[in-house]
Amino acid sequence: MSKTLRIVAKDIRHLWPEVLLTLALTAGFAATEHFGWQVGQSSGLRESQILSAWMNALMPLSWWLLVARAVHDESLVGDRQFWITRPYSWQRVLGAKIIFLATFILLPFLLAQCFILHQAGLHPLVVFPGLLLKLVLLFAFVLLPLLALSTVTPSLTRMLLIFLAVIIYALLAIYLTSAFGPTAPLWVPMGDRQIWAAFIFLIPVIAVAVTLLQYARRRTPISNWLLIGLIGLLTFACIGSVYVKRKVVVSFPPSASGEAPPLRMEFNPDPAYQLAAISSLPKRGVESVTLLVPIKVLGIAHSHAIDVVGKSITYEDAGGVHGTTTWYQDSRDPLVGDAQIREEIYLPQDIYRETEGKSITLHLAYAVTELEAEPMSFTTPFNEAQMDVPQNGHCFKTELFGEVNCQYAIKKPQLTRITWHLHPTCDASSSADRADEKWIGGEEASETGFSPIVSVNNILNADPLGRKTDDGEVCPGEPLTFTRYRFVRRRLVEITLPPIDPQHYLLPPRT
Amino acid sequence: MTVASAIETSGLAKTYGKTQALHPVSLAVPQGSIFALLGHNGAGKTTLIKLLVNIFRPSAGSATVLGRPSSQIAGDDFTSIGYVSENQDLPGWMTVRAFLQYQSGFYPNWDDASLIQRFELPLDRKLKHLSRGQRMKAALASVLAFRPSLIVLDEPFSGLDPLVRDELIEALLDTAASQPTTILLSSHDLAEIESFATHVAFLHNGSLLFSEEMPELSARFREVTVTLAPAAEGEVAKGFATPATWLQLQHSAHTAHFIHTRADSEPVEQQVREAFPSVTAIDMDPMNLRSIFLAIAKSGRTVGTTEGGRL
Repeated sequence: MSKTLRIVAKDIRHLWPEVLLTLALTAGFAATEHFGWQVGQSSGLRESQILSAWMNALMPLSWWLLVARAVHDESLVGDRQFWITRPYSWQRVLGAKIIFLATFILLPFLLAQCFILHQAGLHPLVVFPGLLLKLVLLFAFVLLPLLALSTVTPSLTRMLLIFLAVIIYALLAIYLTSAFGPTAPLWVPMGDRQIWAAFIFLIPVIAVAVTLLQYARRRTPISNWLLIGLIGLLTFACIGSVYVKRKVVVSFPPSASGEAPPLRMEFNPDPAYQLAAISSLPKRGVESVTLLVPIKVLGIAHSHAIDVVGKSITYEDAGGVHGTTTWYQDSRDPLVGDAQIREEIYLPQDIYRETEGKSITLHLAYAVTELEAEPMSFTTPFNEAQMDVPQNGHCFKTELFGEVNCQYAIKKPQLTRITWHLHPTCDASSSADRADEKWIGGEEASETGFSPIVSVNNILNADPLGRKTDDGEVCPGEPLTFTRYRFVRRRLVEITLPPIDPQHYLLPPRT
Repeated sequence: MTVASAIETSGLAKTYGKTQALHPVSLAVPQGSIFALLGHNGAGKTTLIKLLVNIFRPSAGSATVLGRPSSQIAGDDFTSIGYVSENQDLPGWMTVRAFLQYQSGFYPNWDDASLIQRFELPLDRKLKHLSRGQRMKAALASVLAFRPSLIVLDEPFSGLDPLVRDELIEALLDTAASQPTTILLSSHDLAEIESFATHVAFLHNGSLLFSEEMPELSARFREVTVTLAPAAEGEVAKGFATPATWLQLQHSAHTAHFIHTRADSEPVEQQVREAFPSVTAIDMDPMNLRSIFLAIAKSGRTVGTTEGGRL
């Protein structure tokens, strides 16, 4: 037996309880994961779903325990370990630890992924490269940082304390960033993504550096400084994030002159789009009132779409009172063709009261992503039992709520537009009544958490809140067309509305 | 480095921040010797040993161990260097049998059968459940089993009962007799070393006082007692300057007392008569290691204070 395998065998002999715990939790994760995506399929799953959530939380904890115990078995901190004066080369010891972790964390996790995919009716081999990438990411972003932290700590207790301190610091830094940054809780601008991407990329890089330094030289003070440096970079990333969020327009340049096709957004003066005048003002104490201002979106080219990802609004009344909102997220679906939208504008109530009976001028700035349909679309007849859909997914109608849910292997689908026709009834005599559509997926097909299954629910309900409508139903056999859209560019679109009376566009306050 | 040295250091020093744990040390450990590194607790013995086996990195100077720079010693070098320390962390969860079996795979030559028998090791007991003496025996067995060229022992007998200590010493001496092995061991107990060390070095407050062969050291040091004529009242000859080789000179009306550090090569009697014209008797007694160490330590002298690098 080689010296490396001898160390592995010793670790197995010593750490068999931790190994068994990890294997049991991984098996538990595999066995219970399907409860998590069976929402709406049948009743009585609540306890099972809680169990599944526990497995998702406990499995990484067992990894942490196993990594720490394996590394601490040949501790790299201190000068009293017997093994440092024995004929172990550092490459052999590190190799043994990696083989051990690959055998008892990565391999079981891979098998669990395959089992879950199989259970969901998706073939693991089809997405095998994605599964391997998932393992690489797990190793780089979970196991390597744990490995690095274990190499600079002498015991599990010390490691736990440092780990908790780092987590508390990271949460505090992120909280302060959100507290001092502009209000953009969900929408992350591109510059911000680049900062965080750079920081996240540095995590495995520094983890590798610390691990190699510790195994090759046992230079704990230098390694500690490297890890402290990483924490320092987190601080810089937070500060940079605040700065970039304030400079968001940099990522969304204005349209160049002569650029085709010209995208335009205009105010729609049609009185039909005004709301009924409201006699009562919103209650005092409410911070802002909501205006619904009709906007025409023109110039979206054929087979193109635009996605409004964020907006900022500047208002000014005749008396010179003015203000500008921060950039905030717009959650509406992408727009195709010439579109009519009602723009939600939040106006501070004191401003609204001051401008009562007067007109105000609104200047709207939109951060827009332009998308283009891919040439080939996929059409499949609607099958309530099960239908395969592009991008390694399948969909089915749930028993409990009658929703049509989809499951995708490994990653969420690229931004996709699903179109179909609604029928008043599903009788043979009934003809299609009107076209309907739903957008699913995201501009960037990001990796998911531990589960290899990504659920996209209620795909045939165009209502963003998933409410049941009486507009008609999707009948079996109805062709569903899936069209993928790809990113083309970002641009900033600005319009200045003619002076309007805000009272005509006020959304009635909720009673 | 001379071929005859298993270990050679040159200005080897270690500092921790502003604390100088080991002042520059230059010494040679001859091959085949049993070299005792002596000094009280905190003298720098463990620091020096850990520098030699590359557990610590030197702040200054250099060392070679079996012809290899100490800062490069790693991995397979430890198939010819055996290291045992009193406070080494052994894998306590392992039984003695599992520990020895596990270790055996790392060495090309491994034979622990006779050692298990000799030390009467309880093979099925976990290391963490062994007594201090048994644990040291197991650790020493795991080193002697691969027949290293150099055995480095840091305070191996500390806290052991005399029976176990004698067993370990006997095993070391048998090893030294049966194969070409150099043994470097540290101890703060001078009496236990005296019986078998071939060479000794004294460390005091991080400084090397001297490093020398044991017989030569014993021959050099003498405790000299001078009896003076009653009428002289301890009078010292005019113009007499105390030689550098005399330590701790004390005299009263009838006697004088000092330690001579060159009794093997200098004319002691003549020096005494020159110093004390009224001398009636001179007694020269051999000294044990403890007395020599105390005399040097109290005089505050170091290895570099006399010609030839020795006191």
